[in-house]
Amino acid sequence: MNKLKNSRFMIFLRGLIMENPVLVLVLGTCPTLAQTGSVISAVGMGLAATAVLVCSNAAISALRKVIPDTVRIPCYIVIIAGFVSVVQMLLHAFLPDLYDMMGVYLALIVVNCIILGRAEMFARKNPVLDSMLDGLGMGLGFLLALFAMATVREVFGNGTFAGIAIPFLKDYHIPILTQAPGGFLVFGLLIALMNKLREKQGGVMKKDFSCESCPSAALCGKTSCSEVTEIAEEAGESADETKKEDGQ
Amino acid sequence: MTAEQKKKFMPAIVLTSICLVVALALAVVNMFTAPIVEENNRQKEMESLRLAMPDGKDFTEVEGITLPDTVKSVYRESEGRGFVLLLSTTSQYTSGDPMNITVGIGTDGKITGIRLTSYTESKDFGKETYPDTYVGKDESLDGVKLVAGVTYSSTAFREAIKDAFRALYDNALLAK
Repeated sequence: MNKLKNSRFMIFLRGLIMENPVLVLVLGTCPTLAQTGSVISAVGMGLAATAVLVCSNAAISALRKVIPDTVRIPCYIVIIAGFVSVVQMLLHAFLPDLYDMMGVYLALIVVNCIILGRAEMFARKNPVLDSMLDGLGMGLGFLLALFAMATVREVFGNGTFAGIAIPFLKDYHIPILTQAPGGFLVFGLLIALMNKLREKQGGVMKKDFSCESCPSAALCGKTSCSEVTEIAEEAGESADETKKEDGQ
Repeated sequence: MTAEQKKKFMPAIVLTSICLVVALALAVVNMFTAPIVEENNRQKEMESLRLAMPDGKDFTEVEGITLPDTVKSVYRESEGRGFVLLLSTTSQYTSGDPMNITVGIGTDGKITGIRLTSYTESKDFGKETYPDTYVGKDESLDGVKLVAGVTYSSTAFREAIKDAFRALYDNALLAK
């Protein structure tokens, strides 16, 4: 029982830091860069995506034995689009300012690769509760990453935090941070920081992830990415040798 | 149904069923949110009308009247304080997109407020300050001057305001 609880807690925790969808798996980059100019829109996007993730993971997991393999992607898209539309309608009705602020990116949650990725990698193979926990962990991980990035961009790029002016920084801010180049810069720095932290703590690096969660696993047929790298390196070496022999 | 038929038709049946359930769920949510969204939009519209008539409480659109080309719609203030008109200048005077103006006219025939909501001309005639020179003026617009160097835009603006008065008087919404 305890073991089960622990494993469920790990499922939830994994998306937060160890396999953070934005800073480790580098998924959902488009809304990350577009919505982190201000903390409010970043939090709004994070919460909306989390709600969709939890609900779509639950629905897809519940229907996993009913949905035939041949039409699973269209089915996932319809389910995800349905939940996104519901979130969109609710925001439009109850938080119209946030709805206006998020613009087209709210509707684009439908094609957010974190959501479709988790449906394909996790929800279709696991029970409902586990899938919901996975969605919650991944969603909160997405929210955390967006919040961290938006805080850096808004505080140093605009001299405000959630629209509230910060005395010294309001006069000495770095406007490029609120623009697209600043977004890429902060994104890169946060990924570097995350890699360093994970390396220090002896965390699993991306190349060591098991193939279980890889969308290309079926095509690839290998057991881990390091195995693929080894094979690629061997292939490279043998190609070099062939070239040398040809040259001789 | 044979296994072969099941394999053939099952994907279509499942996908169609999911689509139907999702559509039904969306219809139910929309049933609850649509009136709230409509009310929000109405409030937003009222806010923009209040810019031209700050004392105005509520506005209802006046329908079934003949309007000049520049006057897009006329709203009556619910407590009889006057009218707010949405105007859009004609291309006769401007080269770019039309100017959009919201003007409030009190029952005394004087302008209560005026806002230029859209101005795309390259030469600015003082879009923040020029409209305010019309506040308090009546149909004659005495004392309002055209802006030197931006004569076309300021003429278009003035003609639109004149059309606003004409719309009210011609439809007997205001008495002279």
